[in-house]
Amino acid sequence: MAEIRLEGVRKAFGKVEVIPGIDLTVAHGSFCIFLGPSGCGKSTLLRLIAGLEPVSSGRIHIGGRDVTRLPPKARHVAMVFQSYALYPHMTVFENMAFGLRLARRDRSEIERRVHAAARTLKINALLDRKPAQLSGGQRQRVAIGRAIVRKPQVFLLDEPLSNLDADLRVQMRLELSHLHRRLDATMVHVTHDQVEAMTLADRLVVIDAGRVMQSGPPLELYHRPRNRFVAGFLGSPRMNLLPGRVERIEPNQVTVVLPGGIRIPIRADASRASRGDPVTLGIRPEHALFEATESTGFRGRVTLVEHLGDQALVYLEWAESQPPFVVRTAGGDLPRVGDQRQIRLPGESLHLFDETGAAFDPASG
Amino acid sequence: MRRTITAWVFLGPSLLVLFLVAAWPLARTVRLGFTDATLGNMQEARPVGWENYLVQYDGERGGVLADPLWWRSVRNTLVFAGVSVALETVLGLGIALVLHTGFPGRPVVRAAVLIPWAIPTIVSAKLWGWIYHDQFGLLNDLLMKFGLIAAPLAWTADPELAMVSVIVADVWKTTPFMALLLLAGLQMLPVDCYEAARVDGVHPVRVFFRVTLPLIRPALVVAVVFRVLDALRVFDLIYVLTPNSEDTLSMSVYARQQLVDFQDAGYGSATSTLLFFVVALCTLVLLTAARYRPGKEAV
Amino acid sequence: MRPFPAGRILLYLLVLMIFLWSVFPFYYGFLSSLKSGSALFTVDYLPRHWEWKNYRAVFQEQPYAVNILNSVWVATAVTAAALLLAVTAAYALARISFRGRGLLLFTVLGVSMFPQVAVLSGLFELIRRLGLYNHLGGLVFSYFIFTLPFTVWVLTAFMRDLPVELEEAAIMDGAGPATIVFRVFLPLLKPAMVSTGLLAFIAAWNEFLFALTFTLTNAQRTVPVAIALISGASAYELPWGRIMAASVIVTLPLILLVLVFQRRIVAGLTAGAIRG
Repeated sequence: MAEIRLEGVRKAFGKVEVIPGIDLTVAHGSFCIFLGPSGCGKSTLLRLIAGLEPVSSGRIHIGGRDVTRLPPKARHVAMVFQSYALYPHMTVFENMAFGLRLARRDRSEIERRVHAAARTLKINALLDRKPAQLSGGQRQRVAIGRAIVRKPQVFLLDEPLSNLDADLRVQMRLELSHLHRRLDATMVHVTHDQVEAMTLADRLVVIDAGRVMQSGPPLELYHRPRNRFVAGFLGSPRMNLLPGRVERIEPNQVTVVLPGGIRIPIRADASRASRGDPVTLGIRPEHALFEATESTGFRGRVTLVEHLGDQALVYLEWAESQPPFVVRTAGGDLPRVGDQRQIRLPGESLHLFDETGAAFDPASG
Repeated sequence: MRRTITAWVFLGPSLLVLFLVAAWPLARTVRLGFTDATLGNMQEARPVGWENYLVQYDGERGGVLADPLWWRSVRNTLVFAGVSVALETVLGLGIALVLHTGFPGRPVVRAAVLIPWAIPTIVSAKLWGWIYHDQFGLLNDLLMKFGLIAAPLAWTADPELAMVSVIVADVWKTTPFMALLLLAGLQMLPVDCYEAARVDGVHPVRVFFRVTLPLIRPALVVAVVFRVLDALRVFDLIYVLTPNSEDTLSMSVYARQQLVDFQDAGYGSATSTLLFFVVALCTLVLLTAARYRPGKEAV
Repeated sequence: MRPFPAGRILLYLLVLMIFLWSVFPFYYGFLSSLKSGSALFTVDYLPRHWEWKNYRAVFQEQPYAVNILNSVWVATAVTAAALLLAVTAAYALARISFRGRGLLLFTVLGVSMFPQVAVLSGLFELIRRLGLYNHLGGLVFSYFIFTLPFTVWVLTAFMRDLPVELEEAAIMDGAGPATIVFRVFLPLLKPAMVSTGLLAFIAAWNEFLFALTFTLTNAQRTVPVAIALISGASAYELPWGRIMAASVIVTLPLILLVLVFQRRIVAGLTAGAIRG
């Protein structure tokens, strides 16, 4: 079990700086997920921790040891690859035993460990088969088994679920969760799937362009995103982000003007802004409400209704040349295409982001 | 950094071997070309400058470059290479096309086609030598039976026929290589072009020239370049089939003659060096020509 | 079923012609090998004699069996050594990017373009100095010049295609480069090794110039040279019967090899060329 600490870690490939500089701590025993769009550097970060790539500058500590200059095998980490990377010419048993054989462990210990891991993952019937004879889900378990057998301090998983089909993915999510508790291990998992991230993580680290956008428990990131990127990345359908401008600033309140002259007051500490600054207003589809009477909000014309069974997504055109506003609502009185509706934006669910994307803090007091 | 060291460690043995077996001997050969070494006595060689290459004394010119036999061998080799490869390409393409069209028993035929390539050139030289035999050979017998010739021809001895004989034997031996490379090229072609052409009702001959040929150009170019370079270095066939013929003397045979038969290591080495440069030059020319054309095409 | 147009008949005719063209010289060689003495003076198209005298004579008049063994020994040794060297070199060239890699690949390819004559005098001197003249070791050594570049080139191409993640998994398991090459990659390259090995073997088996120049006594000769030097039992006898017999003896195993390993051989040939 180990804590992972990254200090000023920078990575450049030639002239391209993929990771400009990251400081991060992953507490031991936690299930930490690196989440971000493709190409954001999350896999690179994982590989830096694994030791598959050297850092350009900075330090990495695992379990209190400075491992920056150490090769992967000296770091006591194990990795599960996206494509599983099982050795095709070896049986499942041999695949799992390979690392231990290289470490010159004796036969009985190898057998013991492999069988134990196989039992945990329920693959003991498959030990004599070759990877080509296994299904995707089975191969993935073997890949995980190969990692478990080494009893590492840290498990690194590189998009392990993305090659599985939908139901298998849900099932494996549960199993990974169980596994984490059972092994009491530090796990670092990389994915671009936010559902996976939200459900599995103790700690979520959202990364964009090699920078940590925000890190913390998933729900905190969901309800209190500290920047526009994180706000837009988590949540499906994505948060409605409306461009606007600051009209009036008061001690704990600011009035924002949206296209079409719509005025929305928000309780936020906007002291660092000035009148006329461009800002972005955010509200999640599930928080916007349809209201019969005029209130803080605006009118929109329904252009599309998507029925999902237990809920519906209503798309409304509210201002010219703006993307549609999305409202998620449970059954009941659903509007039809062409209807005009009044939308209320409850103050407590509003988010405000400045020009650079940084969030304004909620009102103090 | 560590990886780079690993790379060089892994490459080391191979590079060493190649140095010993190719680079060093080549350098020595070039060096020997500037001496009067003899094969039996290479240590006591004395430097003679460019004498082996070209020298003038008593109004007479000496040295390889002044030897008409050398230039004859150059001409022979170029003719041999050009005609051989041209024939092999056409025949190879034909065979490849036939093999590409499926038919029952194709693996057997393909194996049969491979065999001439697989046997030692010596054997093929001897087989053809026997067929070409002026008195008891099959070819003369056949031609006379069909009334095409009145008297037996000396295929390997006659100055005018020797080159033909050698070329035919070479074509027989190396067409398989061409055929197989071209077959591989054909097998990689996208099927949809052909289906589209069939639907459009395009005549097969036009399909061949307008669709197939341009598409296998890369494979064709590679095969031709390889073969030409091989043909320029020809030794075995000529040495065994037409050993004392000036009309088929290739550069390699000439060089070895000087070196081993006449024991003149200096002269022979100079010749070998020249040969090396001729082949190197042809390689460069061919490679640049090959690189050029595919670039110009916009398929 | 499809109708039987003239095109199909033409195709079969062509196939027959191709088959005959490829095989006929052997057939005739075989026929001739069964004749001896004056029977060789007449041309026959069909087997009329069935004497095996020539075959016996081939083994009696020269140490042909020894020659065959020599060829086997030399070809096997060179092929095994070249494959071993090539597989390690290929790892460096295919999986590690370092400065000068492109140039090195190009140089390796360049060596395979050397005319053998160009290194003849230099090699002769070297072989003499190493005491390998008239010794099979001299042949094994000199044969690297055409087997090594080819094997390196082809194996590099195949190794490049192996997945990176496999290598990384092995690194995570604690494997060093040698382990990766021999325990992870090598098993996966078996078909490529077989193809390349076959081609190298055949090339070494058929080699003539070096074998002719670097050996002196009959006992050290390889098959191609032995065949080239066959002369009749007496000055009056045509050696052709013997020559044909010797040729058939050496051709049969090669035909067998080709029939069995056809696919592998073709794969090797095309891999080498196409990736060029």
